[in-house]
Amino acid sequence: MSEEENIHDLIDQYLRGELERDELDRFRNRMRHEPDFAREVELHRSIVEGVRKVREKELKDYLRENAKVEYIGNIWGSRWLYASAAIIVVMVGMFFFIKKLDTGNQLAQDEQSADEVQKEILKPQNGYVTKNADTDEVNDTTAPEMELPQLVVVEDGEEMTLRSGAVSPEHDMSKLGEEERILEGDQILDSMVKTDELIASINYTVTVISSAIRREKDKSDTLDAYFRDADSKAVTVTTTDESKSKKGRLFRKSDEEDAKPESEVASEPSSTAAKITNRPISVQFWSSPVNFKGYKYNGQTLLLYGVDPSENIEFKEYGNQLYLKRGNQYYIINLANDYKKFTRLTNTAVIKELNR
Amino acid sequence: MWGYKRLSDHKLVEEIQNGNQEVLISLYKGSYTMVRNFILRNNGTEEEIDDVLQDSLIAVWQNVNKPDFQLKVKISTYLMSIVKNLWFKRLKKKSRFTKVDEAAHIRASDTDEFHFNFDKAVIRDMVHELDEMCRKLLSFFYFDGLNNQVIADKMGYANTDTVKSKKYQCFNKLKSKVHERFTKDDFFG
Repeated sequence: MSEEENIHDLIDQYLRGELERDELDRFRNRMRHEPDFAREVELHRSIVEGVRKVREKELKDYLRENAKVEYIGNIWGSRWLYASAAIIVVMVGMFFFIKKLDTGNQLAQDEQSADEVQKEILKPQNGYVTKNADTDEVNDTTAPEMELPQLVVVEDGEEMTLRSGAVSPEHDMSKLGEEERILEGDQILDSMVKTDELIASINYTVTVISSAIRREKDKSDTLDAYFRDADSKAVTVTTTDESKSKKGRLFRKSDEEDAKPESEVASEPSSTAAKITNRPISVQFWSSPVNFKGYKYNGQTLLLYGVDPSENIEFKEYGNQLYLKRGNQYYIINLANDYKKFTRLTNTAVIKELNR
Repeated sequence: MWGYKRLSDHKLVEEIQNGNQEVLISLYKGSYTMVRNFILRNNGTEEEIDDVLQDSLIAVWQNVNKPDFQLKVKISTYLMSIVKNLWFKRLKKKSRFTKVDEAAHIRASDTDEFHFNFDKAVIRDMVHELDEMCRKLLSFFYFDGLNNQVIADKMGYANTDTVKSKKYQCFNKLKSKVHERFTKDDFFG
Protein backbone atom coordinates (compact mmCIF):
# COMPACT_ATOMS: atom_id res chain seq x y z
CA MET A 1 0.00 0.00 0.00
CA SER A 2 1.33 3.36 -0.98
CA GLU A 3 1.64 6.34 1.30
CA GLU A 4 -1.17 8.04 -0.48
CA GLU A 5 -3.39 5.10 -0.03
CA ASN A 6 -2.59 5.09 3.65
CA ILE A 7 -3.58 8.68 3.93
CA HIS A 8 -6.73 7.90 2.02
CA ASP A 9 -7.66 5.22 4.51
CA LEU A 10 -6.77 7.47 7.38
CA ILE A 11 -9.07 10.17 6.15
CA ASP A 12 -11.81 7.59 5.74
CA GLN A 13 -11.35 6.57 9.30
CA TYR A 14 -11.33 10.15 10.47
CA LEU A 15 -14.54 10.91 8.64
CA ARG A 16 -16.16 7.86 10.16
CA GLY A 17 -15.02 8.92 13.62
CA GLU A 18 -12.92 5.83 14.04
CA LEU A 19 -9.70 7.51 15.06
CA GLU A 20 -8.52 7.00 18.56
CA ARG A 21 -7.89 9.94 20.83
CA ASP A 22 -4.20 10.50 20.15
CA GLU A 23 -4.51 9.64 16.45
CA LEU A 24 -7.31 12.14 16.22
CA ASP A 25 -5.25 14.85 17.85
CA ARG A 26 -2.38 14.26 15.49
CA PHE A 27 -4.71 14.34 12.57
CA ARG A 28 -6.27 17.60 13.63
CA ASN A 29 -2.88 19.09 14.24
CA ARG A 30 -1.79 18.21 10.80
CA MET A 31 -4.86 19.84 9.33
CA ARG A 32 -4.17 23.02 11.25
CA HIS A 33 -0.59 23.16 10.16
CA GLU A 34 -0.91 21.87 6.60
CA PRO A 35 -3.53 23.74 4.56
CA ASP A 36 -3.07 21.42 1.63
CA PHE A 37 -3.83 18.54 3.90
CA ALA A 38 -6.87 20.30 5.22
CA ARG A 39 -8.09 20.90 1.71
CA GLU A 40 -7.47 17.32 0.85
CA VAL A 41 -9.52 16.19 3.80
CA GLU A 42 -12.33 18.56 2.89
CA LEU A 43 -12.33 17.44 -0.72
CA HIS A 44 -12.41 13.86 0.43
CA ARG A 45 -15.34 14.61 2.64
CA SER A 46 -17.21 16.37 -0.17
CA ILE A 47 -16.67 13.51 -2.55
CA VAL A 48 -17.85 10.96 -0.04
CA GLU A 49 -20.90 13.09 0.61
CA GLY A 50 -21.57 13.35 -3.11
CA VAL A 51 -21.41 9.60 -3.51
CA ARG A 52 -23.75 9.14 -0.58
CA LYS A 53 -26.27 11.67 -1.77
CA VAL A 54 -26.46 10.08 -5.19
CA ARG A 55 -26.85 6.64 -3.74
CA GLU A 56 -29.42 7.81 -1.24
CA LYS A 57 -31.52 9.30 -3.98
CA GLU A 58 -31.21 6.12 -5.99
CA LEU A 59 -32.44 4.06 -3.06
CA LYS A 60 -35.25 6.46 -2.36
CA ASP A 61 -36.36 6.28 -5.97
CA TYR A 62 -36.24 2.53 -5.75
CA LEU A 63 -38.51 2.60 -2.71
CA ARG A 64 -40.83 5.10 -4.28
CA GLU A 65 -41.17 2.86 -7.30
CA ASN A 66 -41.56 -0.46 -5.55
CA ALA A 67 -42.62 0.12 -1.99
CA LYS A 68 -46.26 0.68 -2.59
CA VAL A 69 -49.01 -0.51 -0.39
CA GLU A 70 -52.40 -1.24 -1.82
CA TYR A 71 -53.74 0.12 1.37
CA ILE A 72 -57.21 -1.12 1.78
CA GLY A 73 -57.93 1.73 4.10
CA ASN A 74 -57.69 4.12 1.22
CA ILE A 75 -61.04 3.19 -0.18
CA TRP A 76 -61.46 6.54 -1.75
CA GLY A 77 -58.46 6.05 -3.97
CA SER A 78 -59.41 6.22 -7.64
CA ARG A 79 -58.66 2.58 -8.32
CA TRP A 80 -60.98 1.47 -5.60
CA LEU A 81 -63.69 3.84 -6.76
CA TYR A 82 -63.54 2.55 -10.30
CA ALA A 83 -63.51 -1.03 -9.12
CA SER A 84 -66.46 -0.48 -6.81
CA ALA A 85 -68.37 1.37 -9.48
CA ALA A 86 -67.76 -1.42 -11.94
CA ILE A 87 -68.89 -4.04 -9.48
CA ILE A 88 -72.04 -2.13 -8.65
CA VAL A 89 -72.88 -1.71 -12.29
CA VAL A 90 -72.43 -5.41 -12.89
CA MET A 91 -74.56 -6.30 -9.88
CA VAL A 92 -77.33 -3.94 -10.90
CA GLY A 93 -77.18 -5.32 -14.39
CA MET A 94 -77.49 -8.85 -13.11
CA PHE A 95 -80.34 -7.89 -10.85
CA PHE A 96 -82.31 -6.43 -13.70
CA PHE A 97 -81.49 -9.32 -15.92
CA ILE A 98 -82.75 -11.82 -13.40
CA LYS A 99 -85.78 -9.73 -12.72
CA LYS A 100 -86.52 -9.65 -16.40
CA LEU A 101 -86.44 -13.40 -16.54
CA ASP A 102 -88.87 -13.63 -13.66
CA THR A 103 -91.21 -11.03 -15.07
CA GLY A 104 -91.16 -12.91 -18.31
CA ASN A 105 -92.52 -15.96 -16.58
CA GLN A 106 -95.13 -14.05 -14.66
CA LEU A 107 -96.42 -12.27 -17.71
CA ALA A 108 -96.79 -15.57 -19.39
CA GLN A 109 -98.85 -16.76 -16.49
CA ASP A 110 -101.05 -13.73 -16.30
CA GLU A 111 -101.90 -14.06 -19.89
CA GLN A 112 -103.31 -17.45 -19.40
CA SER A 113 -106.98 -17.64 -18.75
CA ALA A 114 -108.20 -18.49 -15.34
CA ASP A 115 -109.01 -21.96 -16.47
CA GLU A 116 -105.58 -22.64 -17.73
CA VAL A 117 -104.01 -21.37 -14.59
CA GLN A 118 -106.27 -23.60 -12.67
CA LYS A 119 -105.34 -26.50 -14.82
CA GLU A 120 -101.67 -26.04 -14.30
CA ILE A 121 -101.79 -25.58 -10.61
CA LEU A 122 -104.25 -28.26 -9.97
CA LYS A 123 -101.99 -30.84 -11.44
CA PRO A 124 -100.93 -32.97 -8.59
CA GLN A 125 -98.68 -35.80 -9.35
CA ASN A 126 -101.32 -38.30 -10.03
CA GLY A 127 -103.86 -36.34 -11.95
CA TYR A 128 -105.59 -33.07 -12.25
CA VAL A 129 -108.84 -31.36 -11.79
CA THR A 130 -110.38 -29.17 -14.36
CA LYS A 131 -113.56 -27.34 -14.55
CA ASN A 132 -115.32 -26.52 -17.65
CA ALA A 133 -116.45 -22.94 -17.42
CA ASP A 134 -119.42 -23.49 -19.57
CA THR A 135 -120.84 -26.68 -18.27
CA ASP A 136 -119.72 -26.62 -14.69
CA GLU A 137 -118.48 -30.03 -15.26
CA VAL A 138 -115.72 -31.05 -13.02
CA ASN A 139 -113.19 -33.46 -14.29
CA ASP A 140 -111.23 -34.92 -11.52
CA THR A 141 -108.58 -37.45 -12.22
CA THR A 142 -106.87 -37.20 -8.91
CA ALA A 143 -106.53 -40.25 -6.84
CA PRO A 144 -108.86 -40.30 -3.89
CA GLU A 145 -106.06 -40.28 -1.41
CA MET A 146 -104.77 -37.04 -2.86
CA GLU A 147 -104.40 -34.72 0.03
CA LEU A 148 -103.50 -31.52 -1.65
CA PRO A 149 -106.39 -29.16 -1.40
CA GLN A 150 -107.54 -27.71 -4.59
CA LEU A 151 -107.48 -23.99 -4.81
CA VAL A 152 -110.23 -22.49 -6.70
CA VAL A 153 -110.51 -19.50 -8.86
CA VAL A 154 -114.14 -18.78 -8.99
CA GLU A 155 -115.54 -16.72 -11.73
CA ASP A 156 -118.33 -14.24 -11.61
CA GLY A 157 -120.93 -15.39 -9.24
CA GLU A 158 -120.20 -18.98 -9.82
CA GLU A 159 -119.08 -21.22 -7.14
CA MET A 160 -117.32 -24.40 -7.18
CA THR A 161 -116.71 -27.10 -4.79
CA LEU A 162 -113.92 -29.53 -4.94
CA ARG A 163 -112.97 -32.42 -2.93
CA SER A 164 -110.08 -32.57 -0.63
CA GLY A 165 -109.33 -35.72 1.15
CA ALA A 166 -107.28 -34.36 4.00
CA VAL A 167 -110.05 -33.31 6.29
CA SER A 168 -112.28 -35.35 8.52
CA PRO A 169 -115.82 -35.82 7.31
CA GLU A 170 -117.50 -33.76 10.03
CA HIS A 171 -116.22 -30.63 8.56
CA ASP A 172 -118.16 -29.53 5.66
CA MET A 173 -115.73 -29.33 2.88
CA SER A 174 -118.28 -28.08 0.50
CA LYS A 175 -117.69 -24.74 1.93
CA LEU A 176 -114.13 -24.87 0.80
CA GLY A 177 -114.79 -23.32 -2.53
CA GLU A 178 -116.46 -20.29 -1.09
CA GLU A 179 -113.95 -19.58 1.56
CA GLU A 180 -111.20 -19.61 -0.89
CA ARG A 181 -112.79 -16.89 -2.82
CA ILE A 182 -111.44 -14.73 -0.14
CA LEU A 183 -108.08 -15.15 -1.67
CA GLU A 184 -108.14 -12.79 -4.51
CA GLY A 185 -106.41 -12.48 -7.78
CA ASP A 186 -102.73 -12.51 -7.40
CA GLN A 187 -102.95 -13.83 -3.90
CA ILE A 188 -104.18 -17.03 -5.32
CA LEU A 189 -101.27 -17.15 -7.66
CA ASP A 190 -98.94 -16.39 -4.82
CA SER A 191 -100.34 -19.14 -2.66
CA MET A 192 -100.25 -21.53 -5.52
CA VAL A 193 -96.69 -20.82 -6.25
CA LYS A 194 -95.76 -21.10 -2.60
CA THR A 195 -98.08 -24.02 -1.96
CA ASP A 196 -99.59 -23.02 1.34
CA GLU A 197 -101.68 -25.86 2.43
CA LEU A 198 -105.16 -25.72 3.81
CA ILE A 199 -105.51 -28.31 6.48
CA ALA A 200 -109.01 -27.79 7.70
CA SER A 201 -111.88 -25.41 7.77
CA ILE A 202 -113.94 -25.28 10.90
CA ASN A 203 -116.69 -23.02 12.04
CA TYR A 204 -116.48 -21.61 15.47
CA THR A 205 -118.67 -19.46 17.57
CA VAL A 206 -117.40 -16.23 18.93
CA THR A 207 -118.53 -15.46 22.41
CA VAL A 208 -119.17 -11.79 22.51
CA ILE A 209 -118.83 -10.41 25.95
CA SER A 210 -120.24 -7.12 26.94
CA SER A 211 -119.40 -5.74 30.32
CA ALA A 212 -122.48 -5.53 32.48
CA ILE A 213 -121.18 -2.69 34.61
CA ARG A 214 -120.99 -0.38 31.72
CA ARG A 215 -124.43 -1.31 30.67
CA GLU A 216 -126.04 -0.02 33.78
CA LYS A 217 -124.52 3.34 33.42
CA ASP A 218 -125.31 3.81 29.85
CA LYS A 219 -128.82 3.25 28.82
CA SER A 220 -127.99 3.59 25.19
CA ASP A 221 -125.90 0.49 25.44
CA THR A 222 -128.95 -1.50 26.22
CA LEU A 223 -130.55 -0.14 23.16
CA ASP A 224 -127.43 -0.88 21.21
CA ALA A 225 -127.54 -4.41 22.42
CA TYR A 226 -131.04 -4.72 21.14
CA PHE A 227 -130.11 -3.31 17.81
CA ARG A 228 -127.04 -5.40 17.61
CA ASP A 229 -129.03 -8.48 17.85
CA ALA A 230 -131.44 -7.18 15.35
CA ASP A 231 -128.59 -6.05 13.18
CA SER A 232 -126.90 -9.35 13.14
CA LYS A 233 -129.94 -10.85 11.65
CA ALA A 234 -130.27 -7.99 9.30
CA VAL A 235 -126.67 -8.22 8.43
CA THR A 236 -127.13 -11.81 7.65
CA VAL A 237 -129.74 -10.96 5.19
CA THR A 238 -127.79 -8.21 3.56
CA THR A 239 -124.74 -10.30 3.36
CA THR A 240 -126.61 -12.91 1.51
CA ASP A 241 -127.95 -10.39 -0.87
CA GLU A 242 -124.64 -8.73 -1.35
CA SER A 243 -122.89 -11.92 -1.97
CA LYS A 244 -124.98 -12.54 -4.94
CA SER A 245 -124.18 -9.25 -6.50
CA LYS A 246 -120.50 -9.00 -5.69
CA LYS A 247 -118.14 -10.77 -7.92
CA GLY A 248 -116.44 -13.55 -6.17
CA ARG A 249 -115.93 -11.69 -2.95
CA LEU A 250 -116.78 -12.50 0.58
CA PHE A 251 -119.19 -15.07 -0.51
CA ARG A 252 -121.39 -16.82 1.93
CA LYS A 253 -123.87 -19.44 1.07
CA SER A 254 -127.21 -18.05 2.11
CA ASP A 255 -128.53 -21.37 3.35
CA GLU A 256 -125.74 -21.91 5.69
CA GLU A 257 -126.11 -18.48 7.18
CA ASP A 258 -129.71 -19.00 8.17
CA ALA A 259 -129.11 -22.49 9.31
CA LYS A 260 -126.66 -21.45 11.88
CA PRO A 261 -128.20 -21.09 15.22
CA GLU A 262 -127.60 -17.82 16.87
CA SER A 263 -127.97 -18.42 20.46
CA GLU A 264 -128.49 -15.38 22.42
CA VAL A 265 -128.26 -15.32 26.05
CA ALA A 266 -130.28 -12.25 26.67
CA SER A 267 -129.98 -11.91 30.33
CA GLU A 268 -131.26 -8.96 32.26
CA PRO A 269 -128.72 -6.26 32.49
CA SER A 270 -127.52 -6.53 36.01
CA SER A 271 -124.52 -5.40 37.79
CA THR A 272 -122.89 -8.73 37.88
CA ALA A 273 -123.99 -10.67 34.83
CA ALA A 274 -122.35 -9.93 31.57
CA LYS A 275 -124.31 -9.93 28.43
CA ILE A 276 -123.13 -12.62 26.17
CA THR A 277 -123.99 -13.10 22.57
CA ASN A 278 -122.61 -15.32 19.95
CA ARG A 279 -121.69 -14.95 16.43
CA PRO A 280 -120.18 -17.33 13.96
CA ILE A 281 -116.72 -17.24 12.66
CA SER A 282 -115.34 -19.34 9.93
CA VAL A 283 -111.84 -20.50 10.58
CA GLN A 284 -109.40 -22.07 8.22
CA PHE A 285 -106.28 -23.80 9.37
CA TRP A 286 -103.39 -23.37 7.02
CA SER A 287 -99.81 -24.37 6.98
CA SER A 288 -97.18 -22.56 5.03
CA PRO A 289 -93.94 -23.99 3.70
CA VAL A 290 -92.06 -21.29 5.52
CA ASN A 291 -93.80 -22.18 8.79
CA PHE A 292 -95.42 -18.82 9.17
CA LYS A 293 -97.36 -18.53 12.38
CA GLY A 294 -100.05 -15.93 12.24
CA TYR A 295 -103.42 -15.08 10.91
CA LYS A 296 -105.42 -13.11 8.39
CA TYR A 297 -108.82 -11.89 9.26
CA ASN A 298 -111.15 -10.06 6.97
CA GLY A 299 -114.06 -9.89 9.30
CA GLN A 300 -115.75 -13.03 8.02
CA THR A 301 -113.12 -15.67 7.74
CA LEU A 302 -110.10 -16.14 9.82
CA LEU A 303 -107.11 -17.87 8.33
CA LEU A 304 -104.88 -19.37 10.95
CA TYR A 305 -101.33 -20.37 10.17
CA GLY A 306 -99.25 -22.57 12.36
CA VAL A 307 -102.21 -23.68 14.46
CA ASP A 308 -103.25 -27.26 14.59
CA PRO A 309 -106.94 -27.85 13.90
CA SER A 310 -107.03 -30.33 16.71
CA GLU A 311 -106.09 -27.69 19.23
CA ASN A 312 -108.71 -26.62 21.65
CA ILE A 313 -109.29 -23.00 20.77
CA GLU A 314 -111.96 -20.51 21.53
CA PHE A 315 -112.97 -17.15 20.22
CA LYS A 316 -114.13 -14.33 22.33
CA GLU A 317 -114.97 -10.80 21.56
CA TYR A 318 -114.83 -7.95 23.97
CA GLY A 319 -115.05 -4.28 23.33
CA ASN A 320 -115.29 -4.86 19.61
CA GLN A 321 -112.03 -6.71 19.64
CA LEU A 322 -111.76 -10.31 18.67
CA TYR A 323 -109.55 -12.60 20.68
CA LEU A 324 -108.35 -16.09 20.08
CA LYS A 325 -107.97 -18.22 23.16
CA ARG A 326 -105.39 -20.87 22.89
CA GLY A 327 -104.56 -22.75 26.02
CA ASN A 328 -104.32 -20.07 28.64
CA GLN A 329 -103.33 -17.29 26.32
CA TYR A 330 -105.41 -14.79 24.47
CA TYR A 331 -104.27 -13.50 21.12
CA ILE A 332 -105.46 -10.35 19.52
CA ILE A 333 -107.13 -10.81 16.16
CA ASN A 334 -107.35 -7.67 14.08
CA LEU A 335 -109.02 -6.96 10.82
CA ALA A 336 -106.39 -6.53 8.18
CA ASN A 337 -105.66 -6.83 4.52
CA ASP A 338 -102.57 -8.85 5.10
CA TYR A 339 -101.07 -11.52 7.24
CA LYS A 340 -100.32 -10.74 10.82
CA LYS A 341 -98.30 -12.48 13.46
CA PHE A 342 -99.92 -13.56 16.67
CA THR A 343 -99.74 -10.96 19.40
CA ARG A 344 -100.53 -11.95 22.92
CA LEU A 345 -102.97 -10.01 25.00
CA THR A 346 -101.27 -8.68 28.07
CA ASN A 347 -103.88 -6.35 29.47
CA THR A 348 -104.89 -8.10 32.69
CA ALA A 349 -108.17 -6.19 32.99
CA VAL A 350 -109.31 -7.40 29.64
CA ILE A 351 -108.14 -10.91 30.36
CA LYS A 352 -110.21 -10.86 33.50
CA GLU A 353 -113.27 -9.86 31.56
CA LEU A 354 -112.67 -12.51 28.98
CA ASN A 355 -112.29 -15.16 31.57
CA ARG A 356 -115.60 -14.50 33.17
CA MET B 1 -36.86 -10.99 -6.04
CA TRP B 2 -39.23 -12.95 -3.95
CA GLY B 3 -42.70 -11.89 -3.23
CA TYR B 4 -43.75 -10.20 -0.05
CA LYS B 5 -42.82 -12.43 2.83
CA ARG B 6 -42.75 -11.80 6.51
CA LEU B 7 -39.11 -12.28 7.39
CA SER B 8 -37.80 -12.88 10.85
CA ASP B 9 -35.87 -10.01 12.35
CA HIS B 10 -32.69 -11.98 12.22
CA LYS B 11 -33.16 -12.80 8.59
CA LEU B 12 -34.03 -9.22 7.84
CA VAL B 13 -30.82 -7.93 9.36
CA GLU B 14 -28.87 -10.50 7.41
CA GLU B 15 -30.43 -9.42 4.18
CA ILE B 16 -29.70 -5.77 4.86
CA GLN B 17 -26.10 -6.55 5.67
CA ASN B 18 -25.88 -8.44 2.42
CA GLY B 19 -27.00 -5.38 0.60
CA ASN B 20 -30.27 -6.88 -0.63
CA GLN B 21 -32.36 -3.81 -0.89
CA GLU B 22 -35.48 -5.78 -1.81
CA VAL B 23 -35.84 -6.52 1.87
CA LEU B 24 -36.67 -2.86 2.38
CA ILE B 25 -39.82 -3.42 0.38
CA SER B 26 -40.80 -6.19 2.71
CA LEU B 27 -40.11 -4.01 5.69
CA TYR B 28 -42.06 -1.17 4.14
CA LYS B 29 -45.14 -3.28 3.64
CA GLY B 30 -44.94 -4.79 7.06
CA SER B 31 -44.67 -1.49 8.85
CA TYR B 32 -46.91 0.69 6.74
CA THR B 33 -50.01 0.44 8.89
CA MET B 34 -48.17 1.17 12.10
CA VAL B 35 -46.37 4.13 10.62
CA ARG B 36 -49.55 5.42 9.03
CA ASN B 37 -51.40 5.31 12.30
CA PHE B 38 -48.63 7.10 14.07
CA ILE B 39 -48.30 9.88 11.55
CA LEU B 40 -52.01 10.48 11.15
CA ARG B 41 -52.39 10.68 14.91
CA ASN B 42 -49.59 13.15 15.16
CA ASN B 43 -50.72 15.94 12.89
CA GLY B 44 -49.59 14.27 9.73
CA THR B 45 -51.25 13.66 6.38
CA GLU B 46 -51.43 10.67 4.06
CA GLU B 47 -48.99 12.28 1.66
CA GLU B 48 -46.30 12.54 4.30
CA ILE B 49 -46.38 8.88 5.24
CA ASP B 50 -44.43 7.60 2.26
CA ASP B 51 -41.73 10.21 2.53
CA VAL B 52 -41.18 9.67 6.23
CA LEU B 53 -41.25 5.93 5.89
CA GLN B 54 -38.77 5.98 3.04
CA ASP B 55 -36.35 8.19 4.93
CA SER B 56 -36.69 5.95 7.95
CA LEU B 57 -36.03 2.83 5.95
CA ILE B 58 -32.89 4.34 4.52
CA ALA B 59 -31.74 5.23 8.00
CA VAL B 60 -32.37 1.66 9.10
CA TRP B 61 -30.49 0.46 6.05
CA GLN B 62 -27.45 2.49 6.93
CA ASN B 63 -27.50 1.85 10.64
CA VAL B 64 -27.84 -1.89 10.34
CA ASN B 65 -24.79 -1.86 8.13
CA LYS B 66 -22.64 -0.03 10.63
CA PRO B 67 -19.89 -2.26 11.96
CA ASP B 68 -20.98 -2.21 15.58
CA PHE B 69 -24.68 -2.71 14.93
CA GLN B 70 -26.54 -5.02 17.26
CA LEU B 71 -30.25 -5.55 17.17
CA LYS B 72 -31.57 -5.40 20.71
CA VAL B 73 -35.21 -4.82 20.01
CA LYS B 74 -37.61 -5.93 17.31
CA ILE B 75 -36.93 -4.46 13.91
CA SER B 76 -40.39 -2.93 13.91
CA THR B 77 -39.69 -1.26 17.24
CA TYR B 78 -36.39 -0.02 15.96
CA LEU B 79 -37.93 1.30 12.80
CA MET B 80 -40.69 3.05 14.73
CA SER B 81 -38.21 4.79 16.96
CA ILE B 82 -36.47 6.13 13.86
CA VAL B 83 -39.82 7.14 12.39
CA LYS B 84 -40.76 8.99 15.54
CA ASN B 85 -37.45 10.78 15.68
CA LEU B 86 -37.63 11.84 12.10
CA TRP B 87 -41.21 12.89 12.49
CA PHE B 88 -40.70 15.12 15.48
CA LYS B 89 -37.74 16.72 13.79
CA ARG B 90 -40.00 17.47 10.87
CA LEU B 91 -42.67 18.90 13.08
CA LYS B 92 -40.14 21.15 14.73
CA LYS B 93 -39.01 22.38 11.37
CA LYS B 94 -42.58 23.02 10.32
CA SER B 95 -43.36 25.08 13.33
CA ARG B 96 -40.42 27.40 12.95
CA PHE B 97 -41.06 30.78 11.45
CA THR B 98 -37.62 31.35 10.03
CA LYS B 99 -35.74 28.85 8.02
CA VAL B 100 -33.22 27.15 10.16
CA ASP B 101 -29.66 27.50 9.15
CA GLU B 102 -29.22 24.04 7.70
CA ALA B 103 -25.54 24.06 8.28
CA ALA B 104 -26.09 24.31 11.99
CA HIS B 105 -26.94 20.65 12.37
CA ILE B 106 -24.17 19.46 10.12
CA ARG B 107 -21.36 17.95 12.06
CA ALA B 108 -18.96 20.71 12.82
CA SER B 109 -16.11 20.40 10.47
CA ASP B 110 -12.63 20.95 11.65
CA THR B 111 -11.86 22.42 8.33
CA ASP B 112 -14.48 25.10 8.66
CA GLU B 113 -11.87 27.53 9.74
CA PHE B 114 -10.38 27.18 6.29
CA HIS B 115 -13.62 28.07 4.59
CA PHE B 116 -13.47 25.47 1.93
CA ASN B 117 -16.51 25.39 -0.17
CA PHE B 118 -16.75 22.73 -2.78
CA ASP B 119 -19.66 22.84 -5.08
CA LYS B 120 -21.71 19.82 -4.07
CA ALA B 121 -23.78 19.85 -7.21
CA VAL B 122 -20.74 19.49 -9.41
CA ILE B 123 -19.53 16.57 -7.38
CA ARG B 124 -22.86 14.86 -7.69
CA ASP B 125 -22.74 15.33 -11.43
CA MET B 126 -19.37 13.76 -11.54
CA VAL B 127 -20.60 10.80 -9.58
CA HIS B 128 -23.29 10.30 -12.17
CA GLU B 129 -20.69 10.43 -14.89
CA LEU B 130 -18.68 7.72 -13.24
CA ASP B 131 -18.81 4.24 -14.68
CA GLU B 132 -21.27 1.88 -13.10
CA MET B 133 -18.81 -0.44 -11.45
CA CYS B 134 -17.01 2.37 -9.69
CA ARG B 135 -20.22 4.04 -8.68
CA LYS B 136 -21.60 0.81 -7.24
CA LEU B 137 -18.41 0.08 -5.40
CA LEU B 138 -18.13 3.53 -3.91
CA SER B 139 -21.82 3.48 -3.04
CA PHE B 140 -21.62 0.16 -1.26
CA PHE B 141 -18.66 1.35 0.65
CA TYR B 142 -19.61 4.86 1.55
CA PHE B 143 -23.36 4.73 1.74
CA ASP B 144 -24.58 1.24 2.31
CA GLY B 145 -21.67 0.62 4.60
CA LEU B 146 -21.38 -2.99 3.55
CA ASN B 147 -18.33 -4.73 4.80
CA ASN B 148 -15.60 -5.57 2.36
CA GLN B 149 -16.31 -9.25 2.18
CA VAL B 150 -19.90 -8.64 1.25
CA ILE B 151 -18.78 -6.18 -1.37
CA ALA B 152 -16.34 -8.72 -2.74
CA ASP B 153 -19.16 -11.23 -3.05
CA LYS B 154 -21.50 -8.76 -4.64
CA MET B 155 -19.02 -7.38 -7.10
CA GLY B 156 -17.38 -10.70 -7.86
CA TYR B 157 -13.96 -9.77 -6.55
CA ALA B 158 -11.52 -12.36 -5.43
CA ASN B 159 -10.95 -11.00 -1.96
CA THR B 160 -11.21 -7.98 0.28
CA ASP B 161 -7.81 -6.66 -0.79
CA THR B 162 -9.09 -6.38 -4.30
CA VAL B 163 -12.04 -4.45 -2.96
CA LYS B 164 -9.79 -2.03 -1.16
CA SER B 165 -7.48 -1.34 -4.07
CA LYS B 166 -10.33 -1.08 -6.54
CA LYS B 167 -12.14 1.30 -4.29
CA TYR B 168 -9.06 3.47 -4.02
CA GLN B 169 -8.72 3.53 -7.76
CA CYS B 170 -12.37 4.50 -8.24
CA PHE B 171 -12.12 7.21 -5.65
CA ASN B 172 -9.13 8.79 -7.39
CA LYS B 173 -10.89 8.58 -10.68
CA LEU B 174 -13.73 10.57 -9.24
CA LYS B 175 -11.39 13.01 -7.60
CA SER B 176 -9.55 13.79 -10.83
CA LYS B 177 -12.89 14.29 -12.58
CA VAL B 178 -13.82 16.75 -9.91
CA HIS B 179 -10.45 18.44 -10.21
CA GLU B 180 -10.96 18.84 -13.93
CA ARG B 181 -14.16 20.68 -13.32
CA PHE B 182 -12.84 22.92 -10.66
CA THR B 183 -10.18 25.38 -11.51
CA LYS B 184 -7.72 26.20 -8.91
CA ASP B 185 -9.68 29.31 -8.11
CA ASP B 186 -12.85 27.39 -7.39
CA PHE B 187 -11.22 25.68 -4.51
CA PHE B 188 -11.22 28.90 -2.73
CA GLY B 189 -14.74 29.88 -3.62
